[in-house]
Amino acid sequence: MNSSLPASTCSLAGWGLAPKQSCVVFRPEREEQVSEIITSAPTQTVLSRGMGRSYGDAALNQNAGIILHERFDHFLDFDDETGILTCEAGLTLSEIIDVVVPRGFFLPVTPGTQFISIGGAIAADVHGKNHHLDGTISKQLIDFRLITGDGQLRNCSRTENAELFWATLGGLGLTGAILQARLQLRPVASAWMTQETIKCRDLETLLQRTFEEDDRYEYSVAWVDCLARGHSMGRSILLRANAASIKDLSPKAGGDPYCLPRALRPTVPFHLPSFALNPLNMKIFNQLFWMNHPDRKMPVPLRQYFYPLDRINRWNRVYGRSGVSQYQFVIPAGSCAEGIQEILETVSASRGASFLAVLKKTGPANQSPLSFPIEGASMALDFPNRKRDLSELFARLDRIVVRYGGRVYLAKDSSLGAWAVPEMYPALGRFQEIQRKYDPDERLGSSLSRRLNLLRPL
Amino acid sequence: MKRPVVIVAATSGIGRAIARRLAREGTPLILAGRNEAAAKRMAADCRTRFSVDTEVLVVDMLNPAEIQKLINRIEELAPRGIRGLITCQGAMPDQQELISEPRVFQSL
Repeated sequence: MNSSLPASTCSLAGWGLAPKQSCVVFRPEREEQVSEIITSAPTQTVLSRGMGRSYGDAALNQNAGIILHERFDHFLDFDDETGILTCEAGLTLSEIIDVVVPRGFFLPVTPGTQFISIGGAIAADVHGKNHHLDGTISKQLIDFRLITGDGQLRNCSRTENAELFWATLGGLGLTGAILQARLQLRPVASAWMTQETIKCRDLETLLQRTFEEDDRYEYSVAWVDCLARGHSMGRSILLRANAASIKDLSPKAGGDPYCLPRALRPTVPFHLPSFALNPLNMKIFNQLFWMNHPDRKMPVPLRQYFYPLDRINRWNRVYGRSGVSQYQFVIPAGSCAEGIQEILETVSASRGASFLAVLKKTGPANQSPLSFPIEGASMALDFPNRKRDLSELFARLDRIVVRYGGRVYLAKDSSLGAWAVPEMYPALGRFQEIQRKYDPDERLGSSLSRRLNLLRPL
Repeated sequence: MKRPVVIVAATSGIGRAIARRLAREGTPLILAGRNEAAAKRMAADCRTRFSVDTEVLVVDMLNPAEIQKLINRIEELAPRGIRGLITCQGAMPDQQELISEPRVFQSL
């Protein structure tokens, strides 16, 4: 092995803790080393990995190379007049929030966790609770620097290497290693959100309120109780919010409106035993969750609204050592109610034991060939990986999603069959064409790309 | 105004951690190192995160003449003196080279 490229073999997993795979891990310090690893590392392929927060095997490369970006975590510039941030791609959203919110800015699009890297966010083309109005992270992205499979450093924007720009958004790291990005942040009046909580007694009420009223709210998301059955199927709590202005805040919070409250973040200290999340406990939890959210409107700190699960470190451990699978899909507008109803009934009938799901309205798709959101409604269901094999249930869900013209989110996936990808992502051929052009020697790859044949010759 | 701390080899792993810790406390920094680009990105990082004054000096600590130049530049930048000097300089030459090349050995 080239002595200038130290590597170690590690067992890695995604946030779902399964699968665990042996990978050859590189941790470069400088840009030129990234290029050298991509072109010359003695592994068949290499793949960039950010914070490892994708659930399945999107950031794994079994028996091949992984490039960690933890040394590329520098702020390079922040202009607090224009709100333009230039940073390295290993920086996390959490670190960005700490720096920019006290200066009056926030990320225009943010997913449900702040502990992802900017590079990972671009590679998954992440969306947030405002997708129905603002689209994905592509909205705030001005440009980025990418080392492609041929080892070349390229600037990518809507006008320069545009096809590479769009293919990299949602391209799951398969177009190269993202080194730096420039983002346009949005000004905010405070570090608070005005949150409105609405209880919806069933799926029909939820979808009706979501589709008819969401345009009046910048941000909207619903927590759905998957254990509620019969007439209560789809019972949920809708959490909608707008950025708070000073007059919305209490006198205490208004005195220092950009102050980010420090919250204790307890850690799940070890993998809980697999029986901890049994159906009875889940039912009690959901009942308490329902009762603890009376209809009301109140200001909440932005981290509390956007990242509720981040309040507990390593929350994935509550699912036990075998981990968790997340099944996130989107159903196109027009057939959302039928599609989601059928999925919930299938999950319920299988006793698949997903107890909470997250639903939100999605806006129009963008130009990225592998970007997940399309106009309709997206739902994410968590399933503990225990005892029963989930693959049969997921295969049934895949067929339903395809039948409704929907798709599964690849950054969350660990089970999809390769057959379904061209059905769900009709622009896959276009992605492969662009990918091959910049990676002629097939130096880039991932466990997910091999499982789903994402890079196969046409 | 606070007197700065000079960190030599501030772009090494330990240098980065020390630089960020001091910058968090509001300490102005003078970052010295061989790799100008790496030192500049570390300086930009400390400036953006913590709004502290940060200067970069390029120096090869294996060259005695450059060390004297470094001292002169520090005196210019910090006429009231410095609060401290932290050196994170390290070298790990190839073992065979160390045995066979006296110059490599002497450079340590």
